[in-house]
Amino acid sequence: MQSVKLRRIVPQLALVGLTSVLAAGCLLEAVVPSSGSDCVTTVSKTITIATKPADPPMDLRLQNCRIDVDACTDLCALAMQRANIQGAPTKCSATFDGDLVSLGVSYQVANNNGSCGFADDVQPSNAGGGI
Amino acid sequence: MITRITTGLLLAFAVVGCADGEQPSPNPPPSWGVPITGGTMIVTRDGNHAIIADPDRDRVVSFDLATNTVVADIALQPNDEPGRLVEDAAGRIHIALRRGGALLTLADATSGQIAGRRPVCAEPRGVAFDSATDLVHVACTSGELVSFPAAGGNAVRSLRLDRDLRDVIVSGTGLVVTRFRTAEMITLDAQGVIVTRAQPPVVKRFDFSGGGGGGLGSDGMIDAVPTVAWKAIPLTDGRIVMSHQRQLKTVLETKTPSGYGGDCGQSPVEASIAVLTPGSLTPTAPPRAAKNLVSGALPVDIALNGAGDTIAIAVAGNHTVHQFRTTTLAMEDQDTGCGGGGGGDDVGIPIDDQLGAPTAIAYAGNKLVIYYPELPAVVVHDGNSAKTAVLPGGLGYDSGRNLFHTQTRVGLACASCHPEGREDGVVWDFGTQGGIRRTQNLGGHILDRSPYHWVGDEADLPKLMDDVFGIRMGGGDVTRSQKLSLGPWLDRIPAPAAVPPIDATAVARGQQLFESSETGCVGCHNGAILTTNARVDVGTAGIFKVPSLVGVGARPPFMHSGCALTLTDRFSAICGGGDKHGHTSQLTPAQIADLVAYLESL
Repeated sequence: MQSVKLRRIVPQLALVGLTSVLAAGCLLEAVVPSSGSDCVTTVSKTITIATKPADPPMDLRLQNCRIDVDACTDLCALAMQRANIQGAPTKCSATFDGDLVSLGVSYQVANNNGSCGFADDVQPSNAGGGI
Repeated sequence: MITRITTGLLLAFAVVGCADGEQPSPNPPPSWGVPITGGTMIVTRDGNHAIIADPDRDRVVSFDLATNTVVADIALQPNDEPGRLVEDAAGRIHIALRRGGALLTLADATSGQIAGRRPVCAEPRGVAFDSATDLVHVACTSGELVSFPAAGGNAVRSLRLDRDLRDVIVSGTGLVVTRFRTAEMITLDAQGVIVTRAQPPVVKRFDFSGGGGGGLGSDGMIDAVPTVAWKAIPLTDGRIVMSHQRQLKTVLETKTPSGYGGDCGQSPVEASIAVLTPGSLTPTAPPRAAKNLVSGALPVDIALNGAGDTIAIAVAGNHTVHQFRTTTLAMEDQDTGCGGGGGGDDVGIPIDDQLGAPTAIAYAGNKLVIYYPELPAVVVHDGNSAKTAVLPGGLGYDSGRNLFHTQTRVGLACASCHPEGREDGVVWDFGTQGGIRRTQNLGGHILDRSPYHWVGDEADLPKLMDDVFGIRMGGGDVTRSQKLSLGPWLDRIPAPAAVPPIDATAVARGQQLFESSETGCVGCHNGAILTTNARVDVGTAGIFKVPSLVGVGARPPFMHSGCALTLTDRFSAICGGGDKHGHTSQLTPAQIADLVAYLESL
């Protein structure tokens, strides 16, 4: 009986939840299983932002990304920063859909395994620059 | 059933969300913007308006600092490139049109009414207002210093000084003029007579590259020589503070991953501040190198606050603005060691608004106003608070332009050695990897001048970018967009303007000689840009690509090694290749002078 109720409720909750976070303008969702070595794990996530953010730095990078796919890395980097994700994107894709932009980002995190020493920093291209 | 439908809807939503979205453009947009020059904004004396010259969009914007709104947006002619500006006693705004060759005057700060447009020279740069004489002075790259009545009318004085003039500053009854590439300061008296010349001092740096170089002492120290003077402004006591660069006289060996940065990332070009005393002040103090307050590439602008106790410097290469007390200018220069200078801020932390490269700064009282051209936006910093206003005009984006002005991990940008898209007049020692080489000029039909570098070993710009930016400068991977964009963007930068001829008949005689079979110059220097792009041995110790001669007079020293300080030297026994480089040994000194007059006119 409880199992039947759950089967009814969970998808509805998922739909409501998904709609809510999209409406809020920012969705953080793991879409690809993590992978990597013993020392470093590659994490992939989707970050969704509004296409007209009230955030001039984000707006600048968003506009740049729309007209030049190679500029999207900077957008992903800032979106990660805004989402309190440490590190630099190792992969970045963007899809503009109405009022929202979905950013597929991958980045590496150190596993803090004692035998690994310091994790290598992942540097974006043109290190030292910004946008 | 409901579960299946709901799950199906969810899946459909996800699929639609992924599949139907618009993808970013795979190809970069058309070229946008001009090289960063810095110093293109003022705040009016009453502190109410920021007047922004926007060379990237050929317009002038008046921004009300109280209401955070644009009150005037004045469209100029295409390629006018408005630059430095100044307010006169009547509240008129005078703007040097860098490429438009004119002085534009706005009736006031708010109405948007253009009161006049007066031709000045091919490339006006600095502009200053003298309240005692009610004159506006304009300095030109071709060496003219022209004075206009502020209220309108023709020039009342035109002096011919050295080429490459930059800022002009009123100093007592005289004027101070800076020169861009040499960072020289020239003091003129009220009659326009040169009183003194001064330059920021050469300082010592430890050579972390280990390569040695010119001036390397037994203590491992090398010379750091003043170059590119981005901006100079007066302090309240009449002294001049200059934001400029220094060239470290090391040997540039490529050591990955830091490239020219050597083992510790020491940039061969550093941001510097100098304090100079105009010659008319008594007692005259020698130029001083102030403490190395900022690090990073392209210190393009400097501003003094209303109280005169705080200075800000905009570093375009790392997108920061630094503030510090003017009292720190009294601190002596010191070698800040591996990784460059900085750390001298005493007014908060460096500002990074994350809006790209700041190109202009000014104070409204103690509020710091920063202009960012790309969005475009103005950010007003007041203590710990900051207000951002996005200006009309639309996004400006060019990945080639961005790359050109972005510093790499060693603190070096393309524009460090090619300021304003041209060159810094510096001779470098590339050691075993290239020998002595003068920085090459990029302005003027760059896409028609392949292959690149003195020996023509770089077939095209994308190859050059991988080698020079990616490896030598430690910049890492260059994107496809950057490779597609940089060439077309650079190609829009004109060659330096020629100097107006003093003796047109000498120029004509020189042209005749140049084009004669007797000298044979046109055998290699022909066509629209005066080069065949061939690689030739002209007796200068190697095979070199024939350089274009368009704008040649503006870029001493000459030849690949910079061995000729003047064009006349090129025809002397000092260097130049003798009769293997044209046939000119038979020419009389007067004929050489004619030939030089012609070359100066190109």
